Amino acid sequence: MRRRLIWAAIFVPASIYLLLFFTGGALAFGPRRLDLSPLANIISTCVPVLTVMAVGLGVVNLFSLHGAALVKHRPEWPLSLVVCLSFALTFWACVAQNRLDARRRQLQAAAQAARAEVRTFQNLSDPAPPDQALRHLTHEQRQALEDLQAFEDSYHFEPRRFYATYVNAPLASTVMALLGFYITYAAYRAFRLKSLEATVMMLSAAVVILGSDPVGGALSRGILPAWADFDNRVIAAGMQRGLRLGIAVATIAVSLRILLGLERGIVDVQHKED
Amino acid sequence: MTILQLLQRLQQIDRRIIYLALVTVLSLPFFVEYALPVYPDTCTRQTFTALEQLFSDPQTRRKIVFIISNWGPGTSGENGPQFEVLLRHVLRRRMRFIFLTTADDPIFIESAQLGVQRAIGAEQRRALAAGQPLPEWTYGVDYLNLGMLPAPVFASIADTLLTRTLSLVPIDYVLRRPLTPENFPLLENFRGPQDIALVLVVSAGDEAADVCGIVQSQLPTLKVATATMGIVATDLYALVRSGQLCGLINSARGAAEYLSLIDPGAPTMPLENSMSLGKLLLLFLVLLGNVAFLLTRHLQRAGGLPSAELPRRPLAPLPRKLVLALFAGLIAGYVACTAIEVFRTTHYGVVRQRLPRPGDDPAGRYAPYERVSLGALRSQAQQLSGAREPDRAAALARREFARLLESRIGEFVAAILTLGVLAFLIGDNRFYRVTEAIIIGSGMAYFLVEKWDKVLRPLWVEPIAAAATGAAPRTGMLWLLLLLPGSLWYFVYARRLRWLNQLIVALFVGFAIGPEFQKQVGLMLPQIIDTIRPVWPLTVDGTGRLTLDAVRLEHLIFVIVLVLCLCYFIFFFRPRGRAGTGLLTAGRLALMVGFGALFGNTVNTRLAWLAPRIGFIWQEWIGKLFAT
Repeated sequence: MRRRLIWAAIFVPASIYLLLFFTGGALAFGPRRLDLSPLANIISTCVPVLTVMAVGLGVVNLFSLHGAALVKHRPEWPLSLVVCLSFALTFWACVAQNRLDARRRQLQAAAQAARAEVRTFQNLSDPAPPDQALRHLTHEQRQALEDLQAFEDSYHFEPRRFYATYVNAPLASTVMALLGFYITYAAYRAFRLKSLEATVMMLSAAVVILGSDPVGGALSRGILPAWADFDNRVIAAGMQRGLRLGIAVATIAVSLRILLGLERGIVDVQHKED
Repeated sequence: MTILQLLQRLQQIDRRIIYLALVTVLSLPFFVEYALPVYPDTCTRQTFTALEQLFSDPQTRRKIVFIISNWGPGTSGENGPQFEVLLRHVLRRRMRFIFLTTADDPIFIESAQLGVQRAIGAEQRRALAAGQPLPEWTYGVDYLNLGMLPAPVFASIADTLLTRTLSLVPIDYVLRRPLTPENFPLLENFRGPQDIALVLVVSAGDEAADVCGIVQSQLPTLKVATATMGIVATDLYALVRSGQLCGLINSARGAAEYLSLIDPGAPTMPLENSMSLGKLLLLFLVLLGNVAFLLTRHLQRAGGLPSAELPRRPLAPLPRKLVLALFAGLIAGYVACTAIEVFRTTHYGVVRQRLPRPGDDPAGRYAPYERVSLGALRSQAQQLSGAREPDRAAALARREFARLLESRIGEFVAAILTLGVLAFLIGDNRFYRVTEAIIIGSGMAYFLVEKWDKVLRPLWVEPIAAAATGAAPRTGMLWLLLLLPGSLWYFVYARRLRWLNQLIVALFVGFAIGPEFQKQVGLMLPQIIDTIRPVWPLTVDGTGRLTLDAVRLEHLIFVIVLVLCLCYFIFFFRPRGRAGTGLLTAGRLALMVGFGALFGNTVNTRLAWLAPRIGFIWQEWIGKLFAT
């Protein structure tokens, strides 16, 4: 029963995609035509919504781990405290920013009618001075415009933007940047000319590295960049197309096996655990 | 030390010495400025030409550019410059564009929004420097941010996203208004894919391949171009050859090459020079290791050295005193920088990017930053507003001063966090672990709030609420049914019912494999057709002379490599004899050339991520301290 349910969970959405593909998005029965595109819309909306519904898993895991560390005073509890504090601070930042954005949108919406009025008046008696156009507004409309201008002219700390620009961006990019150190060290330690294959691979890598480098280009007067270009566009592309052809056949084969319930690894995982 | 020990030491240099050498080399171009010529490669030129043709065609000028921006801070070293330079081209040609992200991380759309602002700023500065009137682009009229639609498998929404965009995205990201032509004039002429001039995919992955395989196979006239990481680009050159992609920008160096095409004569910047020196150091180290290795092997074989190898010692941790001294130095340096900044801000004003001035020499080089006081900002604001509203001018000056101050404080925060992550290079330590804890906690909160606010609420909660209040058809209540599969995620915590969690995972497997047939067929057929075309390079021209067709010759080499690679992977039949072995060896060597190119592009990628961080420390954090 469990296996069948899991297989059905795979089969149903996959079949809908196949149906859409093979019917071209519509089924025709004589003069009648059944448009299947709403089905595609529904699935395409379901995917992001269901993805987001999993976020709670992360929150539960985070607090069960770090909350327990804090409560039980485990050895690394100060780090758990930092996790919880940074969570709280960022949560506040995002909520505060959303409130600020909502306030801005509210003021913009209130001033929208007044702006349209001014624009209409200016269009009617072009070129009307702005002051003259403003005089035709009601008190509420003028107030809405003034409120919006006062809001836009004053400084507002935008916590989410600050977090995104000065906390998240440097952290994420520096974590990824560490790979630059590792690849340099790994290349130095592991790239040894032990065989013909290793030599060819290293030569090809050196050409691509130097060819995409301004110094390599300047020293070789454009020869290395042209060589690297050829290497990328012809040799590497030929190899990649060869690999892709094989991968495509394999992907279709594996997809079919999963769809038909023959790929037991996927439908049987829980069964094995039990 | 014996010769053997010396040679083996040269092959086993301590990694921390290599890291230090890399930081030193990457830092040099930020102190010693020089410019080198840029050689744009064929694909970059092809991309530029294709986009120029599209943007100058009156038919396509009425259409929009659809940008899928799937990159975030992690890959901003490459995707950031790519996004900016491509967008500058789009902006300069006054093409209208919409952009969105399908990545799972909310920061991605924030990165794209900031990228658009940077590109607009760069174009405005360029116009000012050239003495042209200040160009402006209006949100909703010239461009539109459609926000985020997280899809773990891009292929599952690719078709709907491009063919029925407006039925999938309910509101825009900035103003949160329904996507109607009344709210956004840009949408007046946007009905569907027939109104898309170009699909531009700037991403850290190969989403462009999904677009080609799934959407372009149904709409062959759809133009698709992409800018991606070097490590992924290797995979996409084959799609450029078959004409499925009309353009490909490879890595940060591709962005620099593209910039040299839209701004001819633009020299290399310190950032590119920094990456360049990093690559040279890597090659030097590989060479050093190999020379030592080959010399050792040669001497051992000749009997000049004993054949025994030195035992590999585990890396010794740094002495505790040295680590403490390093951190003390770091704290002292940070405090000193803060003190200098406070002093200079108090006395000379806050730092900002230097604006072009009327008397500037176009060929001259000026400091990138300048300090400006509140009084100077006020007088500038008064000049701009015509001195009619002094109070408003004062308010605008205060706002600008506060923004600049906020940005400077932010740079100090970013600097300490950057150093915190880099501290991991000397080994695991508390500074790094605290930074790691900040990453985890803040990232989770950001995910939670943003995904609720930007995805769950507009796509799910609001339609249900509208149906419940009667503002929309009652059928909208059916969205509540999603609670059923959505709740299945949480059965992972229920011991006896854990298998129910498998159902939702299986559902996503279904979402992934369903579009895969269409994608692979749509992607591969044009490539097979492209492969099977004439390869014989000798042709006879109109005068009866035998000529060498360079395009065919290139295709011949391409096909030979492809066939050799395919032969190598035929396992049910292995060719025998000298010819057979030779064929397999040639196949292996062809694969190695390809893998070498892949490795070369990977190096480009990794150093493109690292150099901007070093540049940030020297140019933005410390460099701004001394701005006058």
